[in-house]
Amino acid sequence: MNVRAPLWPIAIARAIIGVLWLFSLRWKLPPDFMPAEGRGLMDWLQLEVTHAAFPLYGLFVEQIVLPNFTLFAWLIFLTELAVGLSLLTGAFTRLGALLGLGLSLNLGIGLLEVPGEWPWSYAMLAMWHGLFLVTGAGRVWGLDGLTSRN
Amino acid sequence: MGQEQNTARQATAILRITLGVILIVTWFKNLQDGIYTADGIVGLFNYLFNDNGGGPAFYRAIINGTILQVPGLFAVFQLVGELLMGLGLLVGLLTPLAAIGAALFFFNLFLAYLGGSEWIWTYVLLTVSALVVALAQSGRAWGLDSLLLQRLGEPPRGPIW
Repeated sequence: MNVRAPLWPIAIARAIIGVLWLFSLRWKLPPDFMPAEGRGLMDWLQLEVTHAAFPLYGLFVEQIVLPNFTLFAWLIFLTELAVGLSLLTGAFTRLGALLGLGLSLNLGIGLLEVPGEWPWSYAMLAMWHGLFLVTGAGRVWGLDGLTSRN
Repeated sequence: MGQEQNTARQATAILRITLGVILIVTWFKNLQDGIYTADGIVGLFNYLFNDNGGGPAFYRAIINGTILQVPGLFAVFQLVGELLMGLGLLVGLLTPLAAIGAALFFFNLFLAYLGGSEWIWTYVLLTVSALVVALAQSGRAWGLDSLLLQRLGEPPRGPIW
């Protein structure tokens, strides 16, 4: 009886979620972190302040993040880029998944009360990163698999 | 790999239960909002086609030529189908069937909302999650499919549990 799950579907999901992160960079590209049209990073951060589900979080974004926008924008951009590349290629996947889990939880907390947002999206995203973390998802069809064999 | 494969099945079981909860919570809300009626279905697609995406032209043509010709019948199909998929995923019964059904449903939503203001990756995540749950036969961990497997062995006609 087959009691074990195949790992390749998780590898495909890992790559797709890597593309998700890389695709999401297009509306927060440096140097101004604004897209040609539509909302940019600054707009979303302001929405997190206006519709904060947790007052302390809203206060943090308002008092700490927004006054140092360029620093945090670079931090977010580089972290999302690293997570996207890590998951897409399956390199340092557990680290990428851990960072991605943090980003997903941050998005979920920040956007929970923003109109039009669906909190389940971020719950699913966080869950997937947790899954990549516990399964070491880069070992199948990923660069982590090459390094572990070598 | 064995330990990771066990962990993977348990992790995808959590994913399965979450998908089940999402479907059932949405089912109750849709029921309260009157979506599972002829008027509800027509109103939903009017909203999608006029204000929020509506997807590519071929998708609109298919919907106009099929569902919107018999919205009352489709409403009943949707009412029963969504509930069965949600329950199947929640309790892990005939999981691959329920999950493939859910994946098709989520992919339909992806097409419907494509081009609108919604974050389209939500529907990518849902579709991929349902497909992985199906392929991992995740009802075999913490689900009724594990009982079917113990009593009946491997399914004779394809992986339906």
